[in-house]
Amino acid sequence: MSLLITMFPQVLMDGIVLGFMYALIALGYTMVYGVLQLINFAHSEIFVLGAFVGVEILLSLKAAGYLSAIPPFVLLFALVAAGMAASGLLAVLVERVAYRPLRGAPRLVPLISAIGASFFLQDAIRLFESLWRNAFYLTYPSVELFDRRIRLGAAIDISLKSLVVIVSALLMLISLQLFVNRTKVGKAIRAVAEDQMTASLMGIDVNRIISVTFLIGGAMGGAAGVLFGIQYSLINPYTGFIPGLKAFTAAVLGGIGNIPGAMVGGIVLGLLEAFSASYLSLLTGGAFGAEYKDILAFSLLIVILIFRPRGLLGEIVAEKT
Amino acid sequence: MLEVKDLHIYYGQIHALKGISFAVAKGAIVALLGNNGAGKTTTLKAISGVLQPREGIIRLEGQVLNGLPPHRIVSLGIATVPEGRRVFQRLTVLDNLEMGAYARRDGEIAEDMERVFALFPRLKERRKQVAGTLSGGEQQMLAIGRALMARPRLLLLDEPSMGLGPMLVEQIFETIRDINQQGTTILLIEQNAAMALSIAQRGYVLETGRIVIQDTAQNLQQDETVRKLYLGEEVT
Ligand SMILES: Nc1ncnc2c1ncn2[C@@H]1O[C@H](COP(=O)(O)OP(=O)(O)OP(=O)(O)O)[C@@H](O)[C@H]1O
Ligand SMILES: [Mg+2]
Repeated sequence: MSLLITMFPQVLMDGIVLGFMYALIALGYTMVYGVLQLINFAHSEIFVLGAFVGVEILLSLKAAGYLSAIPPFVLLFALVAAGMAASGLLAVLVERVAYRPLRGAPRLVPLISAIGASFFLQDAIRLFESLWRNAFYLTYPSVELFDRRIRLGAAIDISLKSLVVIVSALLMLISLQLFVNRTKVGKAIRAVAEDQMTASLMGIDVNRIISVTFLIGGAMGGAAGVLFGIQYSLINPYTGFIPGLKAFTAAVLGGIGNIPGAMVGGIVLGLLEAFSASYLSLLTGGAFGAEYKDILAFSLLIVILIFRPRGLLGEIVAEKT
Repeated sequence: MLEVKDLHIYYGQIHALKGISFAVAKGAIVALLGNNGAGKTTTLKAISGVLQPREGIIRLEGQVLNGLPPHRIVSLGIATVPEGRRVFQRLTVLDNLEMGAYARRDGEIAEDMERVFALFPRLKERRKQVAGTLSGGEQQMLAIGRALMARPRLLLLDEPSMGLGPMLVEQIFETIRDINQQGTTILLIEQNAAMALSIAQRGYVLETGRIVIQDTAQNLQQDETVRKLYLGEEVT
């Protein structure tokens, strides 16, 4: 019992870190779903591209011997910015090539195209890294400062990089929320999500707004990719699959199409997962280990969705007519 | 100002408009009448660029609109109050009005917003409210206000009286007349023919994709067929 309590703050911390990661990725799914009612299966690879851009920059700097010369926070900022730019642009490209030509086709058709784009990108990244580095399983070089641990009281001790993940994710979520609610383009995204034809009758260039939506959703995914690499180190071209599925789940949990919902859903899922992983074996007397965490987390999730089928914040989203 | 010539529109195999021609003079109110399914909304969608004509030509002050996407047509000066209002339910009243001015780059948007509030004081009271929570009448005011925010030269109105009580219908039509007197040309679609003809100078009657009658509003009010079919009068 005492172990349950002493573990609590640490598990909470892990859950929050994971949750923010899911939240960032979930935004891409939910924003695109909001404007096109399309599940962008390629989003997990858009996320992975961010992770690869980050590792490539770090490895190149390391090879050149500059890695320790750059102030860590400048480095962090540059990595996140580069990851965002690359993933944002890739998302825009994917929409242009794989989805826009299929606009107006039955909904299953762009879905198949999305799955195709996902496979294509996985293998494109794999091919590139195989040719360029002779390896496609890559490890983020450690940045000494980020591995330092900070004590936050007797029982919690958090690595600086976890803190970095939380703070950067929080900043991005807040900026996105402000952007979508306060700026003209942000409001146009919401208008297009609600009613494309009427939005166009207001003088809104719907195609442009769709591109902007992919750009922003992709950029959030790219930032998540870099943070994922910094946090968990090991990446490969297929790394995005599981976090992608979970982030998609988080988006549904929060209420698909709903931006604050994606944030809430991500954090709830991250916490569920962290607590399942740590407490499952304690609670079952060792019968089930941490490897069953997903079963517990997803069982709880199904229960939540039975009671709130439109997701946690789903009631805010009016039914489309 | 607006000139439509031999317009044909298809929905797949359905031939919805079978070569209609009409014109809207600058500064006028022109009414487009007709029963359900006659093709009124279809005509409007063709003008606003939502539907592309198979044949025919649409000109705004000489400029051909065929092939232009809706947002370009808005920036040429045509705004729409769509059928069924279609305000953005999840956006506030203010944000809806801001979307109406989306294509504008000038600095007079705030003034126009005040003008809209002067026209519809109710919207000012509810400006922070989400549009989905407005009453039907308030949503119609918002749809009109939103279109005015584009500062249009030509305003297209699709059944602005639909679903409103008689008092409100009266008020909406008065507002339409005011808007027109302030210099906006208006193409008005209505099933309420009596009301429409009372403020219009000219009217066209559509029937299954064809214009069957066209005349001045005054003559149409006297026309036997119109009176029987659209004004609901017993003609002896
Ligand atoms: N999206 C569509 N697909 C197929 N047919 C359509 C479509 N929209 C309209 N039509 C058909 O085109 C014809 C004209 O429709 P339209 O909406 O223009 O009529 P309307 O005059 O506006 O009628 P109402 O007064 O009921 O609004 C109708 O026969 C209608 O069934
Ligand atoms: Mg109609």
